[in-house]
Amino acid sequence: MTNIQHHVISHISDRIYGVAGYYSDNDSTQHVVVATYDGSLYEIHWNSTPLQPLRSGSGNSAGFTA
Amino acid sequence: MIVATEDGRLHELYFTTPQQVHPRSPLFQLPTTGPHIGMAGFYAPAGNGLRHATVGGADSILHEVVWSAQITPTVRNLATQFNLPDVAAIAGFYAQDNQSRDVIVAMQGGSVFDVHYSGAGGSTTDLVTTLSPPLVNVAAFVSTDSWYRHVIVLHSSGQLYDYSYTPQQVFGLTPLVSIANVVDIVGYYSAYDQMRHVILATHDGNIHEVYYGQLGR
Repeated sequence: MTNIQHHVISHISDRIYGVAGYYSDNDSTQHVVVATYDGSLYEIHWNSTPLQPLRSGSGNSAGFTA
Repeated sequence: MIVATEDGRLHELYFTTPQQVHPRSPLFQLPTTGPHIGMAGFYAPAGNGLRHATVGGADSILHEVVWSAQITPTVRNLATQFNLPDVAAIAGFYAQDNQSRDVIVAMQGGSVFDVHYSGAGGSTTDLVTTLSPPLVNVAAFVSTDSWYRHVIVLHSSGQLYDYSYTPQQVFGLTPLVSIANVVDIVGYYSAYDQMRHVILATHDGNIHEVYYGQLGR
């Protein structure tokens, strides 16, 4: 039976429009990018414990590593 | 990071650290404007080295834009068309085992389609599964330890499901969790811990992580 874990990793104060996320293999890091209605993008990234969100820049978003 | 705005433009942000974000804005002007139903994005390293972003436009067409740092973005329309008001959401992934590019389209009525192609030719649309309606969102990724394709489907009740399959076999439907008031979802696989992750944002501002290992074990 698969063990399914669920927890809250962070909180964004502004109204959330959408979320994107990906894993970067080169540094074993998970990235979550949150877009808010005011046009901001926040990034949360971690490789063991989620860090506080950082505002990265400014809609519907999709993320990947290239 | 690719952002689609209602003026029909795609914008690219690329970075190695959040402190050094480089915009390419606009990356491309789509031949449609207005609210779109969703976007799928992925990188195809072994296939053609191109970035792919597929946008379900207000014109009910799936517009696929491909580009790289050296190649100017171009657009083509994927052959299968969906009626925009019937689509719940779209997602997508690149499957390295068969070099397939897949765009997953979840219909509000419960059907989930896989629009896929592996070469320069046209795309093929397969019905992945049909779930109890109404569906409200979808995410999709490949777990490279098993090569299962994971289609993560959110039902309007808040119940989240994983539907997994390979081109050869179907694992099937696994209920994950139930979370109310979800704004959006995304999913990915992390190779370092061999975990499948689904990230959910809820209206209260919380960012939830649901993660699990290989299904059935």
